[in-house]
Amino acid sequence: MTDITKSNFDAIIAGGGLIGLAIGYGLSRRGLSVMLLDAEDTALRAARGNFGLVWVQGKGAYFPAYADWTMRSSELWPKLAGELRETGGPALGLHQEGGLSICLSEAEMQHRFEKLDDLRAHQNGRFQFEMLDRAALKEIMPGIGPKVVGAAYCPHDGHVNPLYLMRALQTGLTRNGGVCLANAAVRTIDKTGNSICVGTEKGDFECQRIVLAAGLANAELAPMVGLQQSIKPQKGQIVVTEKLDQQIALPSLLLRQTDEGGLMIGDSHEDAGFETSVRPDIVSGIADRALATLPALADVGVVRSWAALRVMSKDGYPIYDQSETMPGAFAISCHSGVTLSAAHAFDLAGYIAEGSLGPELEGFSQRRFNV
Amino acid sequence: MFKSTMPQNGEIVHLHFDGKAITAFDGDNLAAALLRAGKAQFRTAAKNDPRGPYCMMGVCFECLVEIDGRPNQQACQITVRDGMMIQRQNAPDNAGKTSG
Amino acid sequence: MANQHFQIAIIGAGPAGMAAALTTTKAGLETIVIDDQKDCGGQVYRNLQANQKISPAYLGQSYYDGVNLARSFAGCGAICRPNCTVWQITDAHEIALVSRGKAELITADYIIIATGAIERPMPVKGWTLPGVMSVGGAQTLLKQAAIGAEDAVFVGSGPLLYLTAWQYIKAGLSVRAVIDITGAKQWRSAIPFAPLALFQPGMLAMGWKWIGDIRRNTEVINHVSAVEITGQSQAQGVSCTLLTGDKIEIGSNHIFLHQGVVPNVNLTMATGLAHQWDHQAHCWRPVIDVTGKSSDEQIYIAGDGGGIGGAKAAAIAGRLAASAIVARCGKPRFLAQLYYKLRHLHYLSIRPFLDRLYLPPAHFRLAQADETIICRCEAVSKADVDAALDSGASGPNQLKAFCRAGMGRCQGRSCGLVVQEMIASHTGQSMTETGYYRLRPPVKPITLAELASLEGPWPE
Repeated sequence: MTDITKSNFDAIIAGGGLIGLAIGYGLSRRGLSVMLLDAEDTALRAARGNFGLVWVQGKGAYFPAYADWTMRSSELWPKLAGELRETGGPALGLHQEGGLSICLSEAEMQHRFEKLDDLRAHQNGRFQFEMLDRAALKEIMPGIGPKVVGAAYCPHDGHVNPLYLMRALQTGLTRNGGVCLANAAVRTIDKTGNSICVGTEKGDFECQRIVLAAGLANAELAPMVGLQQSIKPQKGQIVVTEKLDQQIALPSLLLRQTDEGGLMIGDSHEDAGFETSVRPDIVSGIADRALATLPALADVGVVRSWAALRVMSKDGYPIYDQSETMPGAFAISCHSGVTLSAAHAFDLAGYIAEGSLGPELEGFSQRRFNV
Repeated sequence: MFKSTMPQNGEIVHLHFDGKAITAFDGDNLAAALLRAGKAQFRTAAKNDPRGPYCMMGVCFECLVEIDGRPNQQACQITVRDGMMIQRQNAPDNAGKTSG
Repeated sequence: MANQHFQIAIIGAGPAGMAAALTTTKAGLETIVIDDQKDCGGQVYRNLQANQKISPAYLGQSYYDGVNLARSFAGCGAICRPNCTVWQITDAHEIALVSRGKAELITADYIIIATGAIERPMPVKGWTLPGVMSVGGAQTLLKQAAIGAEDAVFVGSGPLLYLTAWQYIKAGLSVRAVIDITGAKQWRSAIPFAPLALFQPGMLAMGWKWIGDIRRNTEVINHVSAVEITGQSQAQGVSCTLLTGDKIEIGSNHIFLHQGVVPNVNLTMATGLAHQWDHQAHCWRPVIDVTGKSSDEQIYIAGDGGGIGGAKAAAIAGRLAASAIVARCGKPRFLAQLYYKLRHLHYLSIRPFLDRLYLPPAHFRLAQADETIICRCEAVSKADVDAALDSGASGPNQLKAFCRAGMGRCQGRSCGLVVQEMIASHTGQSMTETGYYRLRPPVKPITLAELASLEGPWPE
């Protein structure tokens, strides 16, 4: 185990979720000494409530830089999965064979088409999709219910086990000499001479760079480095079933099948503050939509449900910022921790290692809300 | 082998376990009826692990069987019905799935 | 359809739930009793109505002690909902349940949770093989179906083990052996509490009788350091290592394991009620006051679910919680409450002795062999849990995420305490600091169709 009393780390990451782990892993593979400070086991954790999509379709339809960044990450994903395979943990279950947005009405089909068509035009053909009518969808998903009109198919989409991704990133980070410290949520951040001093309940640590990736806690941490992060929680509830024999070929926003065979069913969006209880009415609605899509799932057992809080900025897009008053301090807030893991581990970690965010991330600054 | 500790009387009902005929008494607990008939293994869990009833009170989920085509039924929580078709349940085999 | 509303909702129709209903209905409060079994009685008085007609003597007097309670309960006027799965209690005190394939919400002014106890997991190598059952399971078969196994081996310790082995012998079944894991250390820590236990001479005498009859009728093996169950697709026997290092092999297709019972906290934890680690009994228990009131003013916990006390203590706890609620409804019952408080204390006087004597040694609480299954649902072995700990899992929920332990249908009932203690011994943290799985609804699996069948109206 690395000696954590070492006086000065190249980088400290505040937050042990997917954002923090991906960046921490990325920095450590570049040879930087990294300490990751994580909160309690029971803290609010978007990363452990994640649905697990590596999702491209529809993202950044009105924000081209986000569409590019998402596409870039999706393309980097096989490389990330390849590297993480070396960590020797369970298989990540990465599948990038495309994804579906299943539509239950003609209006939904039309709306989906317009949005994706816009995206395709912006992306000069780099982004591809196809609208499937009922018959075409039936070939991929034979059991669809009578209400299903069709779906948008996008070949760039995929899914992964987000929990094993976390484990692999943490194992990789540790193997590269990084240190992960639990029950050590960041309380204070101060500039001391040439270093940054980070205070936690487990002691104070010094570093050259600090990356704030603490999810919703970034709102309180960012001002300590002279930044703002306009974020709020958006609640999402997910239902998980027991393992099934039958195979559901492609993931969608509504449901995906894990490698173990269980179905994850979700996609609720609620503005409920910091409250994370499971509501019977919401999960009942989720079950309803799943059965409208695939009626044969009626007798499948639900083994678990949960609610987690997405980290949402005012416009829903990620915030990437670096501090002017405290050079070496960065703040990152976003809700696409799985999809963007690869871009975070490779490109973003590279920028942080060099000390400055790249030009393609300029539009993601919090400053966009000040206009 | 489980055996009766009391003379049992009651109406006989007929069940099938993996296609083989079994008799039970009306009102019998399904898991108990199968154990009395000498069936110890009720299902196969992940990694081909054989399992049978463990807690008999509905908390361990080891006694799951398929009943009349419906999988994942807790045998220890179910009363037999004449003509029940029970199948030993195998864990879904997702080994064929490739992943990165 | 508007949700059905009751003044009192009791979850669990064991001794605590039944007794609570007697008090609430007598006070004229509209009471519903919900249970997942087809008959009332809970686990301890399981199938009592049917058995009392034929009264097999081998079940023993402690079982038939429940007859009067069950009879009074049947005539008390509470609305009974058997065969119901309660899968959630919401912050708004809605009880979400499934009955005959249909989900519904019931609301109540006061909820009494009386969901009893479960057996502490006993993760020995081979404990997942068919033929291995919990002692509680073996006893249920005796009560529910009047069947028992010939030549079984009982392994572990605790009153339920001795009672069931005794019932087996009385039922004319041959018991191959009883492997008793109670150690000298347990005796030493329990003896100072023996005088207090003398307040329950009847219980002590009963236990003494069970153990004496067992010793006269079967081989009892003591001074055991390890147990493994042998067999490939079915239990073939027990391999038992003695403190002397000697090994004993006993062939049997029926191995019954037991090392005590702990409160069944799945519903109370999933409801978000405060819990504390009980150092004496080495388990989680809800934080309750002397009347059973939980950290939620409207929710009471009665019986073994609030701390193990046995059937008679449970019935008194049910009476006590119900009297406290009746008092809050404007009908003070000072004398009754005082009486129940004293009787409850009286019943609990034996617990400090029993808890210490039958606290299983650490090497039986934790798995010994790498290949021992810890999480039965997801087939996660000790080696898998150790690997997750090595990759940095620092708490039960992170460990769950890293290796799936606790993610299956049973929601950690078979592995939670083992995993928690493995983490604590790995990190050096206390059991309280380590904490437990965050439990989520549904507390028991329900189908998608059942979940989808729920109808409003929904509160804002």
